[in-house]
Amino acid sequence: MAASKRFMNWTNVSFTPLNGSAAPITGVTSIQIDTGGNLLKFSGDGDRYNTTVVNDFNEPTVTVHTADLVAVSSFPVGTVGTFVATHNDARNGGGTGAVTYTLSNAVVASNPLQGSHRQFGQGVLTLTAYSPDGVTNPLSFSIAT
Amino acid sequence: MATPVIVPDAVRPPLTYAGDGGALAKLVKLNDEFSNVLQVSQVFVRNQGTEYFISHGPDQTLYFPSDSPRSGESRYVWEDRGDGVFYGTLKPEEPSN
Repeated sequence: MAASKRFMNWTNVSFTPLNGSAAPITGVTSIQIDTGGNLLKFSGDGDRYNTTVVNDFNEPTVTVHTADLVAVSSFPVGTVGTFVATHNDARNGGGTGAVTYTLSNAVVASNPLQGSHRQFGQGVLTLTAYSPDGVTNPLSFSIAT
Repeated sequence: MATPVIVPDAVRPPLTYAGDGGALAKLVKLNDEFSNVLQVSQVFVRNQGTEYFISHGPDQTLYFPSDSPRSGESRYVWEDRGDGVFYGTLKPEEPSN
């Protein structure tokens, strides 16, 4: 069935620590993928507005909200690994049209847990990343066909 | 475009090569063509700002890592196929000199 071009739910979410095995992250309620551009703006002389705006730097980040507190607490800040998540096609699930995001050389930036009275506990795993050569984007996309 | 005789290890098309349309349509177009070129079922696409870097896995890099004696050197030999799309063949990992 053709891709719906709409997305719903995240599956196959995992974090694989360097030299470790893939640890699934279940109970995922939301994920934010941010390519993380940084704008530098220039103005001078009598300018009232910027005359040049460029994206000079990118710092991709991924933020995962999940009820899987065990998984979140298993990854201390500074842990390096590979993060993978699939955003399912709304019609085909993980089939045609599903997009998988891979953050290579991901580094755990924060992993707070929280819980409230009569609410499910929630963890928020935030990952940043580095590029081994300083040039290659650590965030890649692939699509199921 | 015909599949090259020697299967490249990576591809670098300009961003404009993906055509108009949304990000999903572009990803579909890139995957459809370059999965055949790289002879894999699924390609990994990175937006490099002015071009895409496409390979068969998520961990490939354009250059040798910064902690390598070959830091700053391309990991690939690139060849323009004639329309601005570059096919890359991995260099040997050993020092070149």
